[in-house]
Amino acid sequence: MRAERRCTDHEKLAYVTTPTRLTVFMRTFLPWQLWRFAVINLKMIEIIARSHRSNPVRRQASDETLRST
Amino acid sequence: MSRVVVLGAGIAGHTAAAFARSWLRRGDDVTVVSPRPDYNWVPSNIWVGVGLMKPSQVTFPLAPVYERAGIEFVQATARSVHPEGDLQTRAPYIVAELDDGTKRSVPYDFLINATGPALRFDMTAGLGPEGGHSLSVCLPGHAAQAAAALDEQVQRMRKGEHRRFLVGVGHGTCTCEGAAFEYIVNLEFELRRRGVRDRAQITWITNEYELGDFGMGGMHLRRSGYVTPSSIFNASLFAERGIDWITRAHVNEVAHDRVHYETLSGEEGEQPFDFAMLLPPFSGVGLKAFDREGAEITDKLFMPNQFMRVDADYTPRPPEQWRAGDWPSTYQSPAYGNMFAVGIAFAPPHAISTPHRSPKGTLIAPAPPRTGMPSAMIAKAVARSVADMVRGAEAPTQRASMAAMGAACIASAGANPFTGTAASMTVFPIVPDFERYPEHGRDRSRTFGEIGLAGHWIKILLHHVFLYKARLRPGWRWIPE
Repeated sequence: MRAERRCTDHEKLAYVTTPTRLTVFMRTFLPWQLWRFAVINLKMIEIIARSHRSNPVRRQASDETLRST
Repeated sequence: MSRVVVLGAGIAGHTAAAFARSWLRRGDDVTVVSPRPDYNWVPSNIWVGVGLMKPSQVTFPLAPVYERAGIEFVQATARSVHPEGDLQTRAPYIVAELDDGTKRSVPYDFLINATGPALRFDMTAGLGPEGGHSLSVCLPGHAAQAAAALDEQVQRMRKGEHRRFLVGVGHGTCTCEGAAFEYIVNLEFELRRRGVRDRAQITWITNEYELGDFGMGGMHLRRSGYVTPSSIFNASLFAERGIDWITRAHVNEVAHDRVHYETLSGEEGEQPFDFAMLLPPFSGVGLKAFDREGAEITDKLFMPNQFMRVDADYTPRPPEQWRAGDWPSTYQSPAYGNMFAVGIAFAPPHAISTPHRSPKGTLIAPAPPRTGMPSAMIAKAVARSVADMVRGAEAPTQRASMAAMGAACIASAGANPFTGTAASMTVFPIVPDFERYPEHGRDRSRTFGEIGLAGHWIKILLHHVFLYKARLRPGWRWIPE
């Protein structure tokens, strides 16, 4: 088992991935973030739709159950 | 005519009650029993905890909303369930305790248990804002207390003092690491905004095996030609923000100026602090259950951790034998078909993250999260099943397994409309399914994460949209969970 990580300045410099200046800049660069706003919303809508979609198959089953009662 | 009783009015309970009301006929009754008079949009408590919002901005009174919707509201704490009724009546009922200590019986035909967690500050000595030495953001009042304590620390730093901040979880079996993560990065952002960051030492303490685990075994993200674990992104953000961290830790005690902890390798350490926000472990709320003769049957309905048994496979197995199919899908009690549990109230079959023990035998393992989007989706599915069963269906008609649904999550990392950021994440499914996705347990094309201002805008949008939905304003049904 690896030892617990207790972050020190040395470790931060030696082992941790850090963002480039461009990456940090793009995080708050308005035109890019407006685009990402649209993209992220679409990705989330897909996840939500997909998660809800797991129900209709069972809804069909439920309708059959209801019809039989 | 049927009566559906919902215990609890948090995200899961409120969702279940609202949808049950909208799907049931006029002659059917929906009753909500909850100890608190207000609804709380818990995800925004983080912003209350750093002083950016008031508790009134994340809460609203439930009584007028329920009156308008035709839902009966009983402000009381549920104490016991009598699923077989008693010797006088065969009708099932619950007993709730009102604020003045009087007991009231509430009969039901269908019961949805959405009582949420008991905040177990008592499991770690000195933990918590009520008689302990640490703060919390679990409740709006706790978060307001944290904001006041933060203001005090900032005043001292403005006078030139250096202060030590400790944020994370206060026990080896805590869940909700994501909420504590949001708090620490918002805290760091606020200290920068207030011009005192250079006088603050900020440390993260967690029971996670690796950073970015969040109680769901972490996740793998595609980025720049690699599939990388979330630990890389979490460590990167902490390094960038100058936040120190201690992982694989169980806090044994919170003293007035330091925590004492042990780690998986057996190391015992202490971390001094001037300000500590440490989330507590959860358990069920301790509902008791009795049969018709009055004999206690709590063990039949609830697990030892007081969460309710549902249609999960609770057979103890080693992590390598865990399966997606272990997780519940209908949330129906195996003992009584008219009882369901949703949100945090249902007992998960096991953890998602691999549990570990220290050399002393202390369990250090994040508990599985089941809050927010999944809890609302589960509540909606159960409400539909109950509505169908009221109309004659013999069994639950809906399934909503966490091993078959995804989750979208926005973790605020600093609140400002132009300079703020948030981590936007999606996972599919929440519980890894290694039979379907052998490599990492999840669909890589639908599991992603990135940090940016756009995430903060979405977080703000969700705050307003979900509060609008919870107030049951026109069109609320069309807003997804």
